[in-house]
Amino acid sequence: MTTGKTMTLKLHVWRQAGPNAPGKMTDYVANNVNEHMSFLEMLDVVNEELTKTGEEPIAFDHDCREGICGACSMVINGIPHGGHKGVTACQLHMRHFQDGQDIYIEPWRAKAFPVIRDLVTNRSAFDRIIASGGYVSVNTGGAPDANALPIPKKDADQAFDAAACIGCGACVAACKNASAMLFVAAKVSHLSHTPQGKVEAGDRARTMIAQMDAEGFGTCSNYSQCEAVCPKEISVKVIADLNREYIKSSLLK
Amino acid sequence: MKLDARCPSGPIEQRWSNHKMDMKLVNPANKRKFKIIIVGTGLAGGSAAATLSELGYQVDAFCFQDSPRRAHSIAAQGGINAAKNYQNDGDSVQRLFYDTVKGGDFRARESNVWRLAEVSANIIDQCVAQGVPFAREYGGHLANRSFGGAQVSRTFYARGQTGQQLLIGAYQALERQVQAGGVKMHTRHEMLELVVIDGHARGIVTRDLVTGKIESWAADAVVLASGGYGNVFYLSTNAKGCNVTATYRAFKKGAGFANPCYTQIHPTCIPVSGDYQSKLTLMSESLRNDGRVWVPTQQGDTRAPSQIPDSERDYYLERKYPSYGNLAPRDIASRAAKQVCDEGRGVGPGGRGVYLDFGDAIKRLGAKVISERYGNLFDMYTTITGEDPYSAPMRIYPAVHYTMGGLWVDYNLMSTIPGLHVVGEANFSDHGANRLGASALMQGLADGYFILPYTIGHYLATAKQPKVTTDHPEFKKAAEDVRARTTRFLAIGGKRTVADFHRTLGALLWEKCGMGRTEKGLKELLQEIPVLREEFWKNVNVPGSDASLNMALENAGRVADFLEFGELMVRDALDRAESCGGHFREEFQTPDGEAQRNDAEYCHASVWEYQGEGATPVRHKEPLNFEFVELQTRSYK
Amino acid sequence: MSSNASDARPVQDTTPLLMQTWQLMNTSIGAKVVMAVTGVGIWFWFLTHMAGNLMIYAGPEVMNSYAAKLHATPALLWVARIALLIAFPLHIGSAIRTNLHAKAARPVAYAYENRSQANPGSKTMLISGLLVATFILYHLAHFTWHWFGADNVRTITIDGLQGIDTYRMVVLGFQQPVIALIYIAAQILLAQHLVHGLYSMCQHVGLWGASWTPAVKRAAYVLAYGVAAGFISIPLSVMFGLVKLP
Repeated sequence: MTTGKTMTLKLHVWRQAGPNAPGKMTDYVANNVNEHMSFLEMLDVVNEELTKTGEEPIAFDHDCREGICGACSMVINGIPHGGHKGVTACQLHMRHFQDGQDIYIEPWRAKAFPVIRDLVTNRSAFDRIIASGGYVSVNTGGAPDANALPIPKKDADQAFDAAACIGCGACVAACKNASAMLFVAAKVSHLSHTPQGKVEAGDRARTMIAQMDAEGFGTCSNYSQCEAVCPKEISVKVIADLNREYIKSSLLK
Repeated sequence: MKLDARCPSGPIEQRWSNHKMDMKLVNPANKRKFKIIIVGTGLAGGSAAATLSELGYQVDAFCFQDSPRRAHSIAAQGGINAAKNYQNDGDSVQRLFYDTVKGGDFRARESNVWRLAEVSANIIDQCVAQGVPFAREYGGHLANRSFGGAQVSRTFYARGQTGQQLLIGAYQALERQVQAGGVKMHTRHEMLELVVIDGHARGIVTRDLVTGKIESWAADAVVLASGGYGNVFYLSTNAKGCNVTATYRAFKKGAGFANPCYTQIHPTCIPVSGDYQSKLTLMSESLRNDGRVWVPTQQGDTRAPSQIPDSERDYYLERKYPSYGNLAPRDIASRAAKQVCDEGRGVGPGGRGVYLDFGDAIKRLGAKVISERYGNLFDMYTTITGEDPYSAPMRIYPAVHYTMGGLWVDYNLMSTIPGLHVVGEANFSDHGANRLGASALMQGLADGYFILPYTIGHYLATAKQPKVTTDHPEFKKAAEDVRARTTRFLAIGGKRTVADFHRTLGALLWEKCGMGRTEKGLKELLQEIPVLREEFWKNVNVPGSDASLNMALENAGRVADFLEFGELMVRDALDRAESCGGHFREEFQTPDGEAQRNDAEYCHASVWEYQGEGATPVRHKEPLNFEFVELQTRSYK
Repeated sequence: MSSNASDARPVQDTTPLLMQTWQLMNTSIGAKVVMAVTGVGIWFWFLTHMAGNLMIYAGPEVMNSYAAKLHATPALLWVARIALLIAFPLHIGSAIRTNLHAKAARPVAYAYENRSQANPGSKTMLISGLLVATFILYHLAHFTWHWFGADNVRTITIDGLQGIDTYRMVVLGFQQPVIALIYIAAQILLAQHLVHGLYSMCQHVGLWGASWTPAVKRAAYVLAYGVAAGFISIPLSVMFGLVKLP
């Protein structure tokens, strides 16, 4: 029952056997790519073929395949997630490509995201940044009634806009400086827009930035390429929020 | 196998309070002496890990993803139920209890469901305290919406990403405990074996998915929070990594598996577009608040939807279920879609689809309002299909979404193996034969934040088991089993890929054990699945090595377990000669096509006990008593 | 409750203020704050410098009198010079730090580079900044240190003060097309640098408002190219003979 037109693509994929192995771009031809396939389904088909010919399939992170878990992480023709507004690689569909097109597929490139294999990187630095302060210090139990503290809709909406971050790391991959500012800022901005999170806003900004620096991410130069590739379209406004919290807290502590 | 549900007696509204009073406590100073293993860090596992560490226990948490934030709880779109009655529309703990028991088609345990409804309000409080950005009204108070199977507005939501926001809340609480040293988080670790010593669950064996290292972990109790088994169908709305391995391995070590045939088919998913399809995408049920479901009255009507006049459209949910209309519960809405497609009135390629039409809502409220409510879902639909739901109706079709069955647990959420606790979708829990929308998030967080932290203490305070280390022979043996299985996969060197076998299994199960099941079909499956399984072990091709990241190897293990588990599911479906909730046996239906329960013979949970390789598992029964909700035919007309 | 949690955050430190400032400057955000603050300072200097330069349109007397008075107030001059001597190295140092960190943060480059989505102006900050810095040195060598073009420098006495005939020096200087064109090119580079720089300053110090940030972005263009236009108008006026020796 497969419908839709098919195409042939020339893939150039980063292959690397392990964290310490050398890697290189390797060429493959993807035949019978249906326009309704997602980008990852296209890779599935390539992998099935590779497996049949005895070659190891291309490893890539993926899980939900509906654009929300943040697992998929590949740079497609130089742009993380492929450059369609608000879309992760798993939701990028092949109808946006042309028959015969060359496609370069590379892993996230950052010192803080070392390659594990092929397109799979280790993004645990993000977990450590959250662990350093990206939370409200509240234990389970004893919370007051949820409506006890009204939150202006505008604040709740701004908190949500920032909280939409899926932690995929595209911002880092896109940034010329491999900075994690958009990721860190999204969390700081999210929590500082809720009364519950505001209490620790300054400390949070400082501990998270200290961890970000320690992980080896670069510095923000306001290129805003992070905003352009963010699948959740998080605005660089959150970076201003973070800077404000950070400076305030550093000077007034 | 003895099934003692340990439900307290007495007035149902006092049972949980009384039970909390009756349970033994662990002295605060002694908590740090206990180690608890938690497998899976979604809503249930993540919240449990954080809460147990806050209490002072040492927690070892494991997930196969690269971060606990990726667990598939994240994909829940619509919302989370709670009996807050903020809307003043008559909601109460009792009503949520009643709706859930009825929604589950009277196949859930009353005591558990009441407790779930009771703690539901605390969940919202807790999440708000964590900074979860729920939707709010202009006055600053929390907003609610309606969901299927309920006539009150009790669903809290954060745009279309409620699961994500709740999971991030739990994940942050978890990472806070990682920083504090109470939780050791092991990502990219897959549990491949449960270790039982002297009848108690004492640890697990994992494979480090990056290095391939097989490791053993000892503890005083083990918690499985590893999710459901929907991916046995290959195509489902579950994430690609979701699997049955953790719970199935526990089953093989003696944990009873309850009601595996209860699978939920979600009515509003984007239809399959081709053979390459790797997963299905759900469109939130909340869409049914404003969208109207219809198909053409005439068979084989291939006109564009805009060309079909109202008189030639069949709004079949509104016609058949006037009081609930498009908000009929999931099982009923799914089956109704299947029926109209079976009649040849389905739309789109292959005729497996129905329209979900926002035309009237856009006329009534304007495109702007609709975009505010569902904008992200509409965008998602456009991204996937390339079609615009503002100008033409969406096409939807049911897809496997959630599994109500799971490891059997008592009121303390403990399985038939002492010390092995099971939370969230992984247990058979509170939803009976059908789960209501926005109740999965509620159950996962109820288990993790408010129930397990009490009940596991009771186990630890009373079990009095000696400390064990991973030097124990049972650990050695379990690790050896894992190694042997891994080696075996890599040595087969067959012709078919793992995904190929998975697709075949899924197609078989979807056809004969999906939305409609018959004795004949199920019996055929009991022949076909073992044949497929045999071929798998002879002809599967798993390339690569076991000493590095090898996703084919990971999948081989999961599919091998699905190939066994699928048979168990079919066996249960065959055994349950009635229709209830998500289990629809075509032989048992009312004249107008509704599910016909058989309370005289099947008012029980079916709990399966493993009997060894190749032997047929034995079915036990936990009778279900309905003292507070009268057994009745479930009607949404 | 025997929580083993709650103290995850570090205790407040008691480091002296100067040390704290130094520590702040060494974090990624602090370095950019330094860049923003020094950038603002340098920009103010540009503005005053332009205001002074524009006096050329008022004729030699006004301009030379202004220059002479300025040189007769060494306190003011040296405060400005010292401030600039601090600001420039910090500004450039922060830029170099950012770039070194960026290099370290991405040890392996992409095979397929695509930076099409970056902010306009942002991509060339280092190069435009370094070129402008080079120009400033050249400019100082020309008009302040008189390493070349000394023939055009004539000492005069105005309002009882000894000074140089600035007006004459500038006009004669810009009558040489190469010098004028270098000056014009440098101003365009500077404007490009400022377009991103002005917006970035606001961002780095956390100034953001939904309504006025887009305005800031537009204002950055106006201010950057406005200042450049002010500067550029002088060599153009000289080249086209609108400003000439009396």
